Amino acid sequence: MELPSKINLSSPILDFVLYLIVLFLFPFGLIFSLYYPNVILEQGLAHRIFYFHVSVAWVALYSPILSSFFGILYLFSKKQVFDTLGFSMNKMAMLFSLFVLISGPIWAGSAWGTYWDWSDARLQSFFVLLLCLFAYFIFRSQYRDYHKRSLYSAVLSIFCALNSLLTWGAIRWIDNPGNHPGSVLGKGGMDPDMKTAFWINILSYHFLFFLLFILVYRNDSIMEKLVQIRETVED
Amino acid sequence: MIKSLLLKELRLLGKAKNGILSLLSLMFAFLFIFHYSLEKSMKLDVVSLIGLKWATIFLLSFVLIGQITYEERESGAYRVSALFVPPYLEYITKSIVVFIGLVIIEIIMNALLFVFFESMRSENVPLYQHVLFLLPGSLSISFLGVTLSEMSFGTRLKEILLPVLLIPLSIPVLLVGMEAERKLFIYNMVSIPYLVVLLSFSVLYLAIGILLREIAPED
Repeated sequence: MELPSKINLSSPILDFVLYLIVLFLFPFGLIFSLYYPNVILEQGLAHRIFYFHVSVAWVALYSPILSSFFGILYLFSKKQVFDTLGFSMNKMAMLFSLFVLISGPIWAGSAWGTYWDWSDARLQSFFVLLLCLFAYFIFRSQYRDYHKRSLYSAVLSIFCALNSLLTWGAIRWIDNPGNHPGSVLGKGGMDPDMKTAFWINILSYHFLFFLLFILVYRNDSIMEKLVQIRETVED
Repeated sequence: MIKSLLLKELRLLGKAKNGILSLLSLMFAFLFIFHYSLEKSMKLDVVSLIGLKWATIFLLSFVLIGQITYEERESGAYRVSALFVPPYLEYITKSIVVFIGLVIIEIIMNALLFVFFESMRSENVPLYQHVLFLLPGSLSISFLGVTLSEMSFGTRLKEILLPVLLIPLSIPVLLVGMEAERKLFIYNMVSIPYLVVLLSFSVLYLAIGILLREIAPED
């Protein structure tokens, strides 16, 4: 196997701009959501976790869909880069799903009086999504054949994306006897102060996600190259 | 060709007589434990029983799928069949035989549920409706399970990995199936949209399974 003499993984200008945006926007969004919007009286201060919870949930829900997109590209092209991109994207999905499942019960404990509602379709489907992602990583860690691992991972990513779509639809398509509220964008939306804080946080978590994704992808690419070098040396 | 393939798969299933017997014993033991420990002291409600029914089917499905797929692959017979049979056909027949196995188990299981649990003896629900949602649900699990068994075959812990993959990926099927049965038993309502969703799952898993068989390189 031919190995490139030089590997270029970073892009200084993009890195600088991204770091700068996240450095200012992320703390600003956080502080803004803590002090600017009015407190919802029934929930008290605990409702402020909403700006974190919903923002990370958005990212957690569409990361598997992006990963499945890379999976489909891999299935058509068989290019390793798409497998690595999908793998990194699923890592992000896992991380942000964990954030959702940690922040959700904290909020629920205060708002509903219980940390977990077993009758709620959205909660169960999110948990299933996390299980799917766990299965994906366990599978990848167990498979030895390089090419087949990528191929099957692409298919598993598609399954994870389906679960993600079901999670998105769980508060829309299923009769939900649980406590989870409906879509935040529906039913007339939010008060203007909440809306401002909400969109700033959505933006800041998206930039954070993008930055983390680039870093994770670079790390995975380096590991990939390391495996290639090892295989070439062994050959 | 399809007929001889089906016969081959059925013979494979028949060869595993001890396995099938152990499946039936497992199911009987599972239901009996619930009957003896719970139903005798308090009547189990219909929603709990629907959950028990689907959980049993799920549990038995991966035992059956593992049994029917791994044995052939381990003996090397799979490679011989692959020389003469298109991969997609092999996949479909295997899934259909798993489905037939599951249907037989479901019929026996429903009879046992009828005997063991009072809430299942609802006069408002005709007998055939007891398996109305189980059939498309089992079809989905069969297509998905056979695909996953092939994926897990190349791993070091295939017996463990099959349920690890099957649990999260089949939960949507189980949730939809249980919700449909809940509506059937409580409101006496046959929910066509849920039936369509379950059939759509089957078609989707079938399509993914065929696609994977066609593009995956052989060992």
